Amino acid sequence: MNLMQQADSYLTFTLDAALFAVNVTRVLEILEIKPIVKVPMSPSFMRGVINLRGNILPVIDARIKFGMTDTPFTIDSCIIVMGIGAGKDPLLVGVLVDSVREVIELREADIQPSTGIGAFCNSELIVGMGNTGDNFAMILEPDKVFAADELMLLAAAS
Amino acid sequence: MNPFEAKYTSEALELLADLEKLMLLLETHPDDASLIQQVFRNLHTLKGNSAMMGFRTITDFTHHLEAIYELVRAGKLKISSAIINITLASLDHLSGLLNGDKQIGDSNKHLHDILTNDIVTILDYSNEGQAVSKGEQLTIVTDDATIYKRKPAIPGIRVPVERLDTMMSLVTELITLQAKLNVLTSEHPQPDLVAAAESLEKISTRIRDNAFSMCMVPVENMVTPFHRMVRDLAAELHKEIDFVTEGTETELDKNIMEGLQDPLMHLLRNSIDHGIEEPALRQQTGKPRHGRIVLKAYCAGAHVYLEIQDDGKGMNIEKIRRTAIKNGLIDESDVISDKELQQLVFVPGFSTADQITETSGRGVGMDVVKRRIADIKGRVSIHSTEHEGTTVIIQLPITLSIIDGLLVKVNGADYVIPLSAVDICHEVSSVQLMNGFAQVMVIDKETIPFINLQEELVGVSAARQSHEIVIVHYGEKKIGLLVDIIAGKFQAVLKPLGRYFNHLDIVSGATILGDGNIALVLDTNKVIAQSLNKKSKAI
Repeated sequence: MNLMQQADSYLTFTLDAALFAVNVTRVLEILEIKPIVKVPMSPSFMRGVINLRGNILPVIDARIKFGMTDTPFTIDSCIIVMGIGAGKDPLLVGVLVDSVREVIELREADIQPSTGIGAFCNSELIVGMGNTGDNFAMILEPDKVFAADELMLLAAAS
Repeated sequence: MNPFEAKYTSEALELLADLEKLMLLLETHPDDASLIQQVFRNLHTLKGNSAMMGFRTITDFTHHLEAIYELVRAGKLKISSAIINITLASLDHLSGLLNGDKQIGDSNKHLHDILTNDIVTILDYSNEGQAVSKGEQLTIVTDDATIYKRKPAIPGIRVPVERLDTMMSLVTELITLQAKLNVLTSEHPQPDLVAAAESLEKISTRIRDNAFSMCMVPVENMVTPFHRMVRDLAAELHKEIDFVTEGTETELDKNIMEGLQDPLMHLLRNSIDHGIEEPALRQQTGKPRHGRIVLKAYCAGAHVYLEIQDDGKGMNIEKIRRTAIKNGLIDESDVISDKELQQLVFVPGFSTADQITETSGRGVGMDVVKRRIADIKGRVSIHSTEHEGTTVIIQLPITLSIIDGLLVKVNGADYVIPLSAVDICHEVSSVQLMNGFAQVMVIDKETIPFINLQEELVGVSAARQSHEIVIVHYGEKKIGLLVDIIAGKFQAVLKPLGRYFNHLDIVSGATILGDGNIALVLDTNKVIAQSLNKKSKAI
């Protein structure tokens, strides 16, 4: 029982060959690929906007954001809707990923803090590595990776 | 009771209820300057409204009461329990007057005299430089019989904005689903299904229209009562004024409009009282005898604008500068542009009027206007030329507004160009001459510069053939926008793109089309400005 309490649920998804994970409390829903409207004059990782039941939802292409090559959509491609920022009204953003895998339980002991992994890993983006048994999932902190203000600063600088 | 009086009464009662709340707060925080300011403002508004409607008793009484708070505001008097008690008793008295025939009769004459006497006593004390500490001397009336029951005035139901917003987004969702259903029924045309889908469509269209109309009101509704007010006030001040309204069919969100009523009223009063000169004076300075006040409403870019323009005497920049220096707002050595100086009139307590009149002049006007407009997320600025007139421009958000637009396709994607910016549409084949290098074309013997939207928005040129041209206004000029094709007119419900696209000013929002697709709404002014900017950089 004690062990269960310390376990958190994570949603795992893939980009290229790599496995990523995000805390399920940040995930609102998973959508199939639908027509994405490109917004002019926006950075390349801003894929555009979609119609989420009458609301406009911005979509970020995680592949481009993480510096991977752009590939055509497959049947597995999907959009994970995440809430960014705390508070009553989180900012909603869709994140385009190659495929969604499963929800796993990770206990604290299963997670290696990113600082322990070494210099190759950008600790700003990845908060830890989760041991899923046969693989490692990079755990993302959506607030850091997809925060609107920082992304826009980046876009302005480039 | 005529509709104006009814409206006045319900507003006045709201003000009184507000004041009562403020007084109770003031009792626990007697030194809170912002509370005092609010009390003063409410009294001022009540007085102004009553004067406008011609209720002398209420006007005079409120004037006395206001005078107390004027002294408090200036720090010459301190809030004491005596003042609060008298004010509360006065508020009850006022509400009694408002619910009655607004006159002094036998029943309330005694009360009225006592209260007036008390107020004057307070004023006299402070004028002698003494603080009112001997509140006991004043007769304070809190007779139960004098506290009137306030009758509920509910002409309609106020609904919180969030609920309306939720309803609106649900309705758009419904419409989107409806479009999908229509596609499905055309694929599987079963008679029962088709009939059901058709009835459903009728209902959902009506729901949509209803929902939209619940939130939108043409500016006209708000403006109509102003005609009467301008007429009456002008007559009272012996001025001759033509009040002209333009673009009143522009629709505004109801909540926004509600917040606008008072500020606009204030601004109009200012124009009449301080702006327009006496007829004789106007003739001397070579102006037409009749002053002219224009209230203009229009939609531009992502905003709705309201302008109040008068051809009166304008503001004296020097006078503003001197007052600002006197009030310590700016330093004598400060270098400030005339434009910036003019905006100082929005600072609380700033008034250059030499005389305080019943309608305006105590310097509470403009800061209230600014505050109220900020409450509805708008902005206000003032532009004045001495001897020529003053224009106040109010910029309001469009959030819930519907705009009429032209649906066009650029490189296969849908865009909406606001119809307000559009001059005329042409087919490319009707162009007599087109110079791609100089980006100028000749249509109907007119030379018009053009911008290829494909190049501008997508960055590639001539991926698809452009077939049509939309000529839009850009300030005084006309500029052609090359698009693939014009799909038709479209009523767009603007939705914000959100924080991720805050930096993007060429798109003022997005809208969802009947089939669920998204079309971006272009701000043509910004698109053109950006294109010109790029070009001038390239050279």
